[in-house]
Amino acid sequence: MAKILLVEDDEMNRDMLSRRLQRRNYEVLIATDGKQALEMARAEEPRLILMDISLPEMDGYEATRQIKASPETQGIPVIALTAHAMAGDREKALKAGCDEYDTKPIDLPRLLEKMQSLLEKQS
Amino acid sequence: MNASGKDFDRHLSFIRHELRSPLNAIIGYTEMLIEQAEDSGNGALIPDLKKVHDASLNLLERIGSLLTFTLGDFTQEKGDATEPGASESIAQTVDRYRREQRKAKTEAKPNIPDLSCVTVPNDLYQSMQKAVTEHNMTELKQCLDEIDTLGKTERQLGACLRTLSRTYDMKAIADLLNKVRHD
Repeated sequence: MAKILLVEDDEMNRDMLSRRLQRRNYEVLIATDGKQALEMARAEEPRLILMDISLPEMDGYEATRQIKASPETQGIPVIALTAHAMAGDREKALKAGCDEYDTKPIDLPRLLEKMQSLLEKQS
Repeated sequence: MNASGKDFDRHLSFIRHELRSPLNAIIGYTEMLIEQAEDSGNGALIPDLKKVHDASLNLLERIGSLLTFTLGDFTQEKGDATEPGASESIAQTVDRYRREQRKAKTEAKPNIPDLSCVTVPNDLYQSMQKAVTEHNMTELKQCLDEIDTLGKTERQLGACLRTLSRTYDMKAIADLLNKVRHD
């Protein structure tokens, strides 16, 4: 069972996505802002991070930059999730260090495929 | 783009995010309920859940259409450096959206088939009339899928109605349906 860190500030989207992932046998840890994501990435060593971009305190771009800058956490793949779907979002996410990018509303089969591909690369 | 233009864009981006977040949750929860209904064999719930899902996607698309027009679009279109104030731009946004909708309707020129060769089964015809009266796009789509299983000319009618339904031109659909033979 792969341990995933879901970083999402919206309670309903957090609950919905974590339950859908749990149904597919992922162990889902939750962080609700960028700072908490950094702490949990270090402490829990998840195999993958799903990172919402619009977050309070520290946004997803900055959290990813810091995760990728730290030797302890830089190997953890990060998938950026954004509801904006604006031109340039993807480039911005990749520039911040995200390994993949996906848009909301979540297309679960597509997201699972991206997660699986990153998890396979890792192992 | 000047400061008011950037503020306006940021404001639109904020509205878009605020509207889309709960809608994304509705879409996700509905998909989850459909999966659970499928797994538990409780298929009776699925058609209605799919309607909620379709309606949510429809609303999401409308939010996207309405809020994609930013001040940047206006200035690019106008090709000058003069930018209106943000309050003026909101009115322009709505106006532009309406113009785009009208344009889409004008451009939607479906090829109307020779209706003398078209006959639609009565029950299907009644379902289409009901869908149009109730503005039920999901129901109408299902009817159009059914039309696709009929003859070539009926399929042409289906394609024509589908084009009209993309612009929600229910009056044009109703007018066309009134000319269709059914038995």
